[in-house]
Amino acid sequence: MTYAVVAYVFAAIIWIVYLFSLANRERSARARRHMDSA
Amino acid sequence: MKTIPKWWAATGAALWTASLALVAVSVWLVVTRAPVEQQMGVAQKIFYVHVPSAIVTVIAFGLTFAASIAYLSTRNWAWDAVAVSSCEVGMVFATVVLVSGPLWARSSWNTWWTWEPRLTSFLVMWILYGGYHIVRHSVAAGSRRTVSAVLGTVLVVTYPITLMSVYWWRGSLHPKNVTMTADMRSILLVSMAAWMLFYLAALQQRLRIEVLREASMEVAG
Repeated sequence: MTYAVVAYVFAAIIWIVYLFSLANRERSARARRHMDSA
Repeated sequence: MKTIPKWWAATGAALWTASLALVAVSVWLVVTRAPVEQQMGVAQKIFYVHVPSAIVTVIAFGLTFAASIAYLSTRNWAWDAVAVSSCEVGMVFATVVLVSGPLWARSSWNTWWTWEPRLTSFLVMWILYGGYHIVRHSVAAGSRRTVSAVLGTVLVVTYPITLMSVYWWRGSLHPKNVTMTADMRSILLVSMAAWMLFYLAALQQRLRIEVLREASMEVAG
């Protein structure tokens, strides 16, 4: 039971961290594009 | 200047909504409906995240290979964007496989890790595709795309080794064939569809970053 729960929790943590990094990088890329085109 | 079309943003939102809903349904099915395997017990339910993640990893790296070939043939930057985006998302799926695997192994084989053929070849594949990103960020911008495409093409040799490792070498603890009940098979299919959709959602979002970077470089350069 514990192993299965830990596996799903770890998978969720990995995805949450990655998706936050994607969102941050997209925000930075958008900001840079606005600065470049201004 | 390259811009992100409105339909793409709309498709992205729809993909995220559908994939998150399907992932939630698949986890609910795993918790409430998936039968408890007699020998391995509840820990066998790791199967429903481990196996789909492994299959999506192979698909993601397969797209990296195809897009790398396409880039080398056409020199169109979009193929390079697809290759690097798919490789990065594939690496996250591969990491989930490498994290969930030892937890299942500890429960089933009484060890966190063993140097058996499938585990070893998958780890080597993960390290080599990780190297793809390191090399990509290490080479000069002018040759970055070509070097990445060559690597994305060459790394396909890890495929047959990982997939066929259970047949080619003795001592594999991974089974050659898996026997499943009808319930297990149907929940596996739902999980597979959920994680495949999740991959597509993450891929389109990662691709947006490449499009924005390309647009910035075009303005700068």
